[in-house]
Amino acid sequence: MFRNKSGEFSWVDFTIDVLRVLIVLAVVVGAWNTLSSGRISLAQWVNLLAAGLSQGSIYALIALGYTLVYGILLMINFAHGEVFMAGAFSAFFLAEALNRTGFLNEQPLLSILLMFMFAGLISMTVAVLVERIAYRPLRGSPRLVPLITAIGASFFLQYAFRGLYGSNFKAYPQVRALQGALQIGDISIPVTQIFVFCSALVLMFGLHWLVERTRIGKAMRAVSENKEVARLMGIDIDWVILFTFGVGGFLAGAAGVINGLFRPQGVNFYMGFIPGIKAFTAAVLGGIGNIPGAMLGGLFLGVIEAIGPNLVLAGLGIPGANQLKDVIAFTMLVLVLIFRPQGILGERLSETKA
Amino acid sequence: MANLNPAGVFDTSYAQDLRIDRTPRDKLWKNLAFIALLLLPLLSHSSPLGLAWISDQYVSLVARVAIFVIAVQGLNLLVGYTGQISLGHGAFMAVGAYGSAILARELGFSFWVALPVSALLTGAVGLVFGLPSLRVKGFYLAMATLAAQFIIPWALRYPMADLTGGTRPLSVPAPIIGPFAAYAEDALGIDDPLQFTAGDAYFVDVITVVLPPHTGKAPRIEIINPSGDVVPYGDVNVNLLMDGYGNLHSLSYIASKHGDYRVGLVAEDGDEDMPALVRRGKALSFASDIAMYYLIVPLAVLLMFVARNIIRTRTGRAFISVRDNDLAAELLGINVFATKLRAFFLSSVYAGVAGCLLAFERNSLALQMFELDVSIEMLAMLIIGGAGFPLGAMFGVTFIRLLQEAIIPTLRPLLSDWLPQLFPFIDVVNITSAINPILFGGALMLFLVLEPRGIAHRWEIFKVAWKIRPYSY
Repeated sequence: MFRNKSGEFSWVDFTIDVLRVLIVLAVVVGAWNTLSSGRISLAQWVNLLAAGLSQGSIYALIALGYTLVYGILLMINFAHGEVFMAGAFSAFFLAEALNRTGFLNEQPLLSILLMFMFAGLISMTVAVLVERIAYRPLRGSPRLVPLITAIGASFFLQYAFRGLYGSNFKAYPQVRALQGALQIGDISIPVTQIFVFCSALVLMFGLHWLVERTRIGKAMRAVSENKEVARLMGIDIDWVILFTFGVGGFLAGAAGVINGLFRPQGVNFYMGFIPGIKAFTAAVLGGIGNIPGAMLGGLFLGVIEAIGPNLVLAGLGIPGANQLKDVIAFTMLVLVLIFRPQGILGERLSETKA
Repeated sequence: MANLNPAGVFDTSYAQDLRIDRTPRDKLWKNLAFIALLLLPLLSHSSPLGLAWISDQYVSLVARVAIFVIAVQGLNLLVGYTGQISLGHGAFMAVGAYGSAILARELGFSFWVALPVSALLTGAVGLVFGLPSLRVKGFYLAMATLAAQFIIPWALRYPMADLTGGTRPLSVPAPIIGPFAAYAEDALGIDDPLQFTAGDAYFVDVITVVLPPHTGKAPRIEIINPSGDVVPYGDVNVNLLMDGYGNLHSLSYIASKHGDYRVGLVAEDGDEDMPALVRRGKALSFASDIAMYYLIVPLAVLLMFVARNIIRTRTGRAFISVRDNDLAAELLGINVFATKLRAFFLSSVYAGVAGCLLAFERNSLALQMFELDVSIEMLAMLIIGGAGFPLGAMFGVTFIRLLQEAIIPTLRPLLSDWLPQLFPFIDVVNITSAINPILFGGALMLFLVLEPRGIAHRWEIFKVAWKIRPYSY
C-alpha cells in the first residue's frame, strides 16, 4: 500500500488508496444502517432488483454497440446514443399506426416483433451512415478527431430529429398484453419488466451466436485481433466494420423499442444522451471491447442504480437519494477508471488504448 | 520542376522563425486591422461623431464575437496546443460570469477587480476538473470534463441559488471608472428622499448610500425613477456592500435613464432613526455598447497576443510536445501532468475572462447561456477555425457567428417556403428553430472530414498563394 510499482512512496497512490478505503467504508456503513433499520422489506428489495435488471438490460443492449465498435476500431462512437434515439423515435410512429388499426392489441407479439425489426433497421441505417460519412474518412487520423466528428454527428442527429418532429415527449401506446403483474407469494413483478429482460436476453444470445458461430462473426473477431493480418487473410475490412456498426445499431434500435414500451414518459429528441452515457459507463464497467463484459456491466449498472441509492445513500442519511440516480453512473465511471480501468472482465488497457 | 524552390518568405535564422510578424508588411496589415477595429464603432449610429454609416447592432455583434474569441482562444491552448479535450468550457465561462457578477453585486467589487479575481477563480476550478487528465486521455477525459458541464450549472442553480438567483436571470451593474469630480456628501434620513439627476450615456451619477453599523434588519433603500415608480430591486444597476453582520451596508446606484431620480431609506422594522450618508459623484460608465466595445475588443486583442506569446515560451513548447507525443515529452524531461494542468489553468482563465466580459456586456446573466450546447459550439468554432493555429479562434468564431447572424436569417424564409411542400409532415416552426444546431453539427463534421486543419490553414495557403502570384513557383 501507498507505494508505486518501484516501491517508492507516491502521493498519487496514497490518495487513491485512502479513497478506496473511504469508499468501502461508506458503502459498508450505509448498507448496514439501511439493513438494520429495516425500512425496506424483502419484497421491495426484489422489486427494486427486478426494475434494476430490466433497466440494466436496456443499458446492456446499448453498451454492446459501444463495445463492438471499440473492439474493432478502438474508438468510442459518441453518436451511439443518438442511434438509439433514432430507433425509438421511428418505432413510435409505427406503434401509433399499429395502435390505430387495432393490430397492436390483437397481435401483440407480432407487432412488437415488427417494431423491433423496423426500429432496428432505422437505427442500423443511421449507424452505418454515421460510420460512412463521419468516421471512415478519418480512420487514420489522431484519436481526438473521430471523437469530435462524433460530437458533431450526435448534435446533428439530435437537432435533425427535433427539427423533424418537435421537442415534445411522445408516449408509446399501451400494449394490453404487457399490463399487469406476475404474482409470486407477496412479490409482484410487472410483466413489462419480465418482457424487457427476456427480449434483451434473446437479443444478447443472438449476438453471441452471430459473433461465435457464423462466418462474419469470425471475420469480426479476426479484424478486432489484427486489422492488417485480417486483410491479408482476404477479409474485407471496410465491410466488416460497416457490419459491426450495423449490428450495434440494430441492437440499439431494439433497445429503443424496449425502452419506449418500458418507460411511460415516451420519447423525444434528447432521450439518447443520458442512456448513451450510462451505457458507455456500463461498457467501461464490464471492460470495454469485451462482449460478455458489456452485458454484465449493463445489468450491474442497472441494479446498482436501482438499489444503490436506497441501500447506501439513504443509509448515510443523504436526503432525496433517488434523485441522485444519474450521478451514480458518473461516479461509477470515475471510480472504475481510477481503480480498475480494465473493467470487470476486460484485459488491462494499455497506454495506447486508453 | 523538381529542384526548384517555391518563392515566398523563408526564414534564415531561428529568431526569424519565432517572430510574430514575419515581414514588415505583416506588421503593417496587423496594425491597420487593429486601427480599423478601433474605428468601427465611430461609424455607427450612436457614435458621438454622428456619422451613422453602420447599424449599432454590428458594434455589439463584434464585441460579442471578441468575447467568444477570448473563450475559444483559451480552448485552443488546451485542445489545439496541448491536445487535451474539454467539454466543460461553457461551464468554466459560467464560473467566470457568475463569479464576477457575485463579487460585484454582493461584495461591491468594481469590475476592474472582479475581472482578474473571477478569472483566477475560474482557473482554480479548471485545475480541479483537469485533475483526471493525470489518469485518463481522449474520450475518458471528455467524459470527466463533461461532468464539469453537469456539476457546475447544478451547483449554481441549487446550492448557490441565494447568490445566483437560481433559474431567474441575474442583473449585473455596468463597469464604471470613478466616481470622481464634484464628489459631494449629504445626509440621508428615513423618509427624507434625496433628489439627483441621472447623467448621459457616458457619464453617470453614482450614488453610494453608506449605512452606519447596525444590528437589526437593514433599512430598505428605495429608488424612485422619473415617472414616480419604485425601481424594482432586481432591475436596478446596483453595487451592494455588506457590513460585517451580513447586512446591506452600502449601495451604489447608477441611473441608466435621464431624468430626476430620488433615493430614500425605508425602515424595515420600526421607525428607528438611522441617518445614512450619501456620497455622489460623476463616473465614466461603460453602460453603452460603444464604451463596452472599447473595453472588450482591445482586451481580446491583448489576450490573443498573450496566447501567441505563451506558445513561444518554454511552457508553450511543452504544451505542443505533450500534444504530439506525451511519452517522448516525458523522456525529454517535461513534467507531463504539470504541463496538462497548466494548460487547463490557462484555458480556464481565458474562459473566466470571457465569462466576466459576457456578464458585464449583457448586464444580465442566465444559466441557459452556459449549457452543454455552448461548450460544443465553442469546440466546433475552434475546429472549424483551426485548432492549433494562433488565429484559429478568430476565424472560427467569426465564421460561425456569420453563419448564425447573416446566413441563417436569410435562409430561414426560404426554408419555411419550400420545406413543407417537399415534406408535408414537417412542422415549419420545428425546423426553423432547430436549423441553427443542425447546420452547426453538419459544418463541424464536414470540416473535420474535408479540412481538418480548419479555415486558418486555408488562410495560410491563401497568403502564400497571394504572395507568389501570378506564378505558382
